[in-house]
Amino acid sequence: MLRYIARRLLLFILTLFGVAVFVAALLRLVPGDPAVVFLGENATPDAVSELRRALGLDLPWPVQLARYLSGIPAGDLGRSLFQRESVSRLIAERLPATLELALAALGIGVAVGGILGVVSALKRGSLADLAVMVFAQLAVSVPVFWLGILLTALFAVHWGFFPAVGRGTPAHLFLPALTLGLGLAAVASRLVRASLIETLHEDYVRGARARGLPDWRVTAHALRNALLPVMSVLGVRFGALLGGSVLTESVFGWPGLGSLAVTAISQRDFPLVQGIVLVFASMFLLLHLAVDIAYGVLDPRIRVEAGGGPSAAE
Amino acid sequence: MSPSLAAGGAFVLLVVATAIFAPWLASYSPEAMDMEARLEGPSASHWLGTDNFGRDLWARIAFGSRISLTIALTSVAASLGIGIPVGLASGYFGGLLDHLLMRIVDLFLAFPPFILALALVAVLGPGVSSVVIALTAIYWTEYARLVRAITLSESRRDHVTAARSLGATHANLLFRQILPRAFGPLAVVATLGIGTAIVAESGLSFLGFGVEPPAPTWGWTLAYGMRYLRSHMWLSTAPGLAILVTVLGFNLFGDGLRDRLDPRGLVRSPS
Repeated sequence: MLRYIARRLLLFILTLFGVAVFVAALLRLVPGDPAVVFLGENATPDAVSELRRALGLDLPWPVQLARYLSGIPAGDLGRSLFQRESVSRLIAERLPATLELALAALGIGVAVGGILGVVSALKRGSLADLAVMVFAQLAVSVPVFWLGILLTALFAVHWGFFPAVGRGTPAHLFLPALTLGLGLAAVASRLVRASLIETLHEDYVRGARARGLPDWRVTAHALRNALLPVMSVLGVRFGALLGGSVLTESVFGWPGLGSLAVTAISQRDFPLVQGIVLVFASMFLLLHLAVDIAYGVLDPRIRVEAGGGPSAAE
Repeated sequence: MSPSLAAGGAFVLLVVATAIFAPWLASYSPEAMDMEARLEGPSASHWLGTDNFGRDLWARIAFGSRISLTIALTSVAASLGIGIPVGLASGYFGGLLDHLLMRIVDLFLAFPPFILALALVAVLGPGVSSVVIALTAIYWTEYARLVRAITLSESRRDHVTAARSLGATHANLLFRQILPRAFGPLAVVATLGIGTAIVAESGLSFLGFGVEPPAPTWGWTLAYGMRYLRSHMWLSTAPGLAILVTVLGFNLFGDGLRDRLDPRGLVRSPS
């Protein structure tokens, strides 16, 4: 088990390093001079060369890269060009709001999707099953930003049940979390349904039934095993959730990393954009790592297959 | 024909026909302003009403379908163009090349997809080509992984071994024996990918980082309509419905295709 965890950790560190190099290289993809792009065509040569120095663009590329990478362990991600503050500080101020939203959405997605998936699997072929599948297809297809607008129009503007924008109380959190969580609920319901239907046909489940175990115990038994593959896919889905959080935060004026990213991109504040992308990717990779390890703990077969887990190589 | 394939096909046909015949279906230019007809409700002359500049909303939706479909189709074609050769080379030659290519795939997969697209649009600037590059960067990995998996399994099959023993070249084996077996699953993933690309493109436009206004993108039209949510809700409802119908169509069609073309279940549901 320790060897499996060590292998996963090593892979995590290597990928994170690759991500950091990619993020550092982003500045080189800017068409033209990033300093001119930020300051505008009418900037004085002095102002441009000062900004080039501040961004480290006057240094050779390997030195720029080494400087960026060496700052990361100490939390030094540079300074925001527009807000003239440390990028890490700006991110630290906004990160809790994004985590709060993402975790609430994850909770809603797993709870709603789990319940709907179980109902759908147990009542296979019924009207309830059909309703769940229609819901899942619609929720997977609806763009998260339009869903947010619809929920705001109905529950905030029309009925006034919840505040339309801002953060602070559980009431503020409900609509953004529901918006972000429904897509995940749709995916979860499909996965739980498919996985549970398959598990309910396994020999050990039929054996448990034959031994006279009550239905609810048989279902609970099957559900535990059916949830394993679901967990792995939901880890991957967390990436979509983080991406969706940018759009959801914009709709609801939620003061998180996503809305900070939108502001940073609008202002062409490259160091801030780089920092936010790095933090989003790190969160995504950390969740992957957690899912991989949890999967290994819960399913010994994964540990035996050296290097198992949701990686491109498998 | 399965209900999914039929319903999805009907939606897709509707959207494609709207995009092709937009100049004939809309009586106004999507960018023509009429300040005396601002914020009008749906009527015989303006089927879906007008926006704050008096622009015909139906014309913007109809012409917007051209932008969304063009960007989605181009980015899916580019993703196939990169993913197929990478997947074939990786699965067929294996070894160090496979390891190297799959680590590059892993690197792209390490980013939440929409965040990677945003990062690329942030540095490249808004515009059609930036959006296509950003969407290609987030979707090519899916095709590469799928083709690699199929190549790995097909390479060991009897028909490939037989062709190899008869002296077939690498190119012959790759493009005549192996690649045709990937066409079914690829068609499914590409169909589902068009829907996903439309959502991502609309999301970028919604945030103001897609194709620049006054181009009538669905995302920007929706974002603009959001400003009038209290008084003129249809301004955001119409483009939202257009996106939903299109994406739903491609998802249903893709699901139907999967049942027909991918009996081995290599392709997952849209997620």
